[in-house]
Amino acid sequence: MSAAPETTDVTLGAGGAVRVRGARRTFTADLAPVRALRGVDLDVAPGEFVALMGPSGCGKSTLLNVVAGLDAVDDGTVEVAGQRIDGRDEDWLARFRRTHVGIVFQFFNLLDGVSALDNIVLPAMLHGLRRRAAESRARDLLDLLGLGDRTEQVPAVLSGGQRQRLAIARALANEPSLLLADEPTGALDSEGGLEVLELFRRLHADGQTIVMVTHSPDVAAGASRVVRMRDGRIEQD
Amino acid sequence: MPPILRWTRLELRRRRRGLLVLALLVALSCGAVLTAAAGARRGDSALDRLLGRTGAAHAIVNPFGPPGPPGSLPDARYWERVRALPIVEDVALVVDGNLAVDGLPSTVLPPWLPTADAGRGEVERPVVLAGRAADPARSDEAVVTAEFLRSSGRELGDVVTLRTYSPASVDAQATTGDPLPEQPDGPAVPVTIVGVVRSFAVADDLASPGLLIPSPAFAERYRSELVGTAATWRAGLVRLHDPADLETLRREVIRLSATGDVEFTDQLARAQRTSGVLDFESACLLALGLAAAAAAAVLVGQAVQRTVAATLPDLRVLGAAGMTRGQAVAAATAAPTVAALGGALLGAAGAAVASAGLPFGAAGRYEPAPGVDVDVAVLGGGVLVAIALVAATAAAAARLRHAGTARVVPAPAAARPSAVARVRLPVPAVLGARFALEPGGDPAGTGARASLAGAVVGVLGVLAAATFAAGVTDAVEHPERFGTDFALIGFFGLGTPADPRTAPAMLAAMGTDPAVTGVTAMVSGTATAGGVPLAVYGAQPVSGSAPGLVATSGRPPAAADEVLLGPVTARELDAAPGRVVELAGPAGPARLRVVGIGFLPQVDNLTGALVTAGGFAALGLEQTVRYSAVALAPGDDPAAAVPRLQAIGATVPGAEPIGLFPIGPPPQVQELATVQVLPRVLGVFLGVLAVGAVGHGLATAVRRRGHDLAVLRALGMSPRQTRTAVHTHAAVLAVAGLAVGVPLGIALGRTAWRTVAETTPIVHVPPAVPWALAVPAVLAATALLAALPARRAARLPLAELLRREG
Ligand SMILES: Nc1ncnc2c1ncn2[C@@H]1O[C@H](COP(=O)(O)OP(=O)(O)OP(=O)(O)O)[C@@H](O)[C@H]1O
Ligand SMILES: [Mg+2]
Repeated sequence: MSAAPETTDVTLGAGGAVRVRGARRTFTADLAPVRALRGVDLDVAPGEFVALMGPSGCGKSTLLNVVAGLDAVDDGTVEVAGQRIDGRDEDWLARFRRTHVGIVFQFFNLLDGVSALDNIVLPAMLHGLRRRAAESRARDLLDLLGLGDRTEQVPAVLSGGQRQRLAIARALANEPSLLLADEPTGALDSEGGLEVLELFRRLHADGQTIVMVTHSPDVAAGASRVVRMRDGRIEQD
Repeated sequence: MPPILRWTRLELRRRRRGLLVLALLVALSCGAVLTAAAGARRGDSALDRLLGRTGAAHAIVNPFGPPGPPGSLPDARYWERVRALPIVEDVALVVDGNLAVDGLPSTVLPPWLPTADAGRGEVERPVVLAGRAADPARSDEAVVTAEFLRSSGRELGDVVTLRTYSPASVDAQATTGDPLPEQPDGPAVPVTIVGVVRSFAVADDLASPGLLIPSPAFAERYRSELVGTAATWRAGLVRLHDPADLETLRREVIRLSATGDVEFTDQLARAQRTSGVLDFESACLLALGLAAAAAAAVLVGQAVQRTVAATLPDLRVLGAAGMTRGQAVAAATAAPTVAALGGALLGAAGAAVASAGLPFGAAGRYEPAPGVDVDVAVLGGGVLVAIALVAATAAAAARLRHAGTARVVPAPAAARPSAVARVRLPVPAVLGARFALEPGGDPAGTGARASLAGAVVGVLGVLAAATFAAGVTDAVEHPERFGTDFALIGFFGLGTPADPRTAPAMLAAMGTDPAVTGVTAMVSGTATAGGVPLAVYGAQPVSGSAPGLVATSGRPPAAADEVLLGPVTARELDAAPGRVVELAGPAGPARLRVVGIGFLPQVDNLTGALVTAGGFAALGLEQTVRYSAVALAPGDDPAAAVPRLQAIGATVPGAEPIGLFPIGPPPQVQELATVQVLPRVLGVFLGVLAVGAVGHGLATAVRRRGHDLAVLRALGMSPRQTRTAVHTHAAVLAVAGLAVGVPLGIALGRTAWRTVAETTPIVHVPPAVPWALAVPAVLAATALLAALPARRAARLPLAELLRREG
């Protein structure tokens, strides 16, 4: 039932890591429809480290979700790793995510009651690794992120910074070509935030493509490019 | 207190709906549980109340005259002497006459008719359920049982015509053995149905079309038409001051009769048998009530916890404003308790209304006061218990959760990592197993535990009920399990013309009939065991199988020093197979080895001793063949065989017609048949409960684990894998249910059936059910239940779920 390593039609295209054109997304709300994305154009080149900034409610998380294939655009096109991902069915998107995308959520979204190690082993197995391989990859990642002595602990007993590092390790479990992070430092103190930023810079140095949402100019300063959003549009590139 | 009162009023107003649901749940649970409990209690006591209120007879004594014209007593003062016995409370005399009814089968007439000679009128006064009792002065009135009205379609006030035979015809039959004329040739008597009555002696059983009982004046006025001109009253319904004197009565009525030829029907034993059936029925009903109570405890418990959890955040805010912890707990408990009070009262009222339909089954036919019955003890107690349970649950939940959140850092939901996640299985399988076996986001773990328990209890309950029901069905379909392994019973003497001396030849001749599979000749007499009289039967297999010799344990006697005891006698003598008992006959005491416990060839087949013909002779008892048991090939109609076998018997020189009667299914069969439905109802109830628990568990797991599922979906788990996870959850529940439920269920069903078989008693055959069918059935049922939650799991709104903190 666990998928064998997928060799899908998804291959890294020559165009770029992310290419969004005229993306629109409107939510139906109680009072009036909320137009979260109003025609977003965005390009991210492979190996780039992009910081996405903008006021609260401007549509940053929505854009990230759309790029991750967790949400669908109403209009416009979304291309990731050279593949159109808009208009695809859920199964295709699931395979796409497990092959290409790693996601770090604002609120960790770790699996409760599951050890730190298994939090990484499970997605690695979804990616298609055998249990043994998944475990050794998980240990490597935990070591890399300084959690090597926490493998058997559950998220609930970890500190906020440790949880976020675990969430990042998990996002890297499937060796994603694109790492998406939604305010990865938002729940951390400034020290923890800088720690995470340092980690991202290291990953970036190794060639990892990263799109990171942040409110902090200090954190954004660490990125290779800053993109600003306002009212559902890209304001400044 | 005032702040709590104020808070409670506020809660009752703003949480109206949630509290209403809670109240209705309590009402439903209380209603079901109390209905069952009160019904069980009422059914359990129905027979005792009926026996007490009607002054039920302890024995029916039918003394036979010497060979010759039946109906004439050896001594007209016989009953005067019986009445004068100090142990006897009262005797009502009855008569079994020749009578027919227009347009109805003669089985609607009781085996005996009441006469005006009812002593002080204290024996067998049936309770009147509708209308009135028949006027003892009017011969044109009759009462009926409830079943009579149902089966005949007649109503109170209707007139039925009784057909009598002329005294001349009856006399002729008595003296010369001439058959009665085809058509009754005596007066036709229209009688009006004036009332519906009930008593143990005229109780409806399931197979009967009900009974029509003419007024005592009828028997007086048509006495000659019923029993002929020469006859005196014959049988007596005897009530004792103390039922313990029954054996003394048996001895005395035999001593007082000139011939010693007395048919003694032990009504007490019959009542005990019926009582056993009612106990069993009550136990089934109680089991139903307990199952309902267990289900209710889970459902109501969860509802109470939800209610308390919803109110605690507000109370915490008030806590910051100075409300103490005790006050907070009291405030959180008050509203659910008020809801429980309302619900419990409603439920009790429902149970009181439902009591109109109870007791049902066998007990319903013995209930002296049918209709609504408010069992104050059960209903009142139930209401109090329900309220106390809800209050205690609410208080405990409030105390637990309130304490938990008083700390700054919330206690970790699960401090130990999942063991299931360790297992080397594909992700969806691991996930499904976790859903089934680990509490997840629910600290109390009620969800996962309840659905696991539901699956196990469901499979266990259904299998136990099915196994038990298979035992009941097997017994009902095999009269030989009750000792009735023969179709006809033949009498020599005992009110029939056949001369016992011709018995061996006649029985041997009848054994040659191709449809006859076995004949056993029986001799009977009375010996004593420890000074107490004991009916002893001697069995002499004549041909074929040896019918009438059925052992529930051990085997029938084969040698002269061996004996089989009736179960009641075995208990009284404290004897078991392997022990030696001492019986004393006219030839003096004899030591006999008990080789089996089983049935005796008699109506009351639970008391007495069965020995071989040799053993009977060794006791020095009179070797006159009185009974015979005739077994027929399966499918041969006993009624049709009677004239054929009588004709064969008549070919023996000097033979008089043998009294040969088809023996119906034993009364226990009908009694058991009436409760057959109960284990099935229980099984269906538990099955439905399990379906509910498992379905609810699967749906709740998806809701509660929706976030985990969304996270894994974001990490690349496909919708198909998500569905597989939910189906794995279902499969784990099914496998756990089957692995634990099947063996335990079969064991439980068999144990219960063995207990019933041993106490009834019945020849115990371990019931078998095609349990393997449960495997595909349970797997299919759980897969079906999982279909909808699986679909929902595959379509979770990912982006939305992932926005939430978690
Ligand atoms: N599922 C939804 N249903 C309705 N409205 C939504 C939904 N998701 C997002 N929105 C709305 O869309 C708008 C954009 O939301 P989004 O989460 O993308 O903002 P954001 O830029 O990430 O804000 P923040 O910085 O506060 O996280 C908001 O007004 C939000 O209320
Ligand atoms: Mg956001």
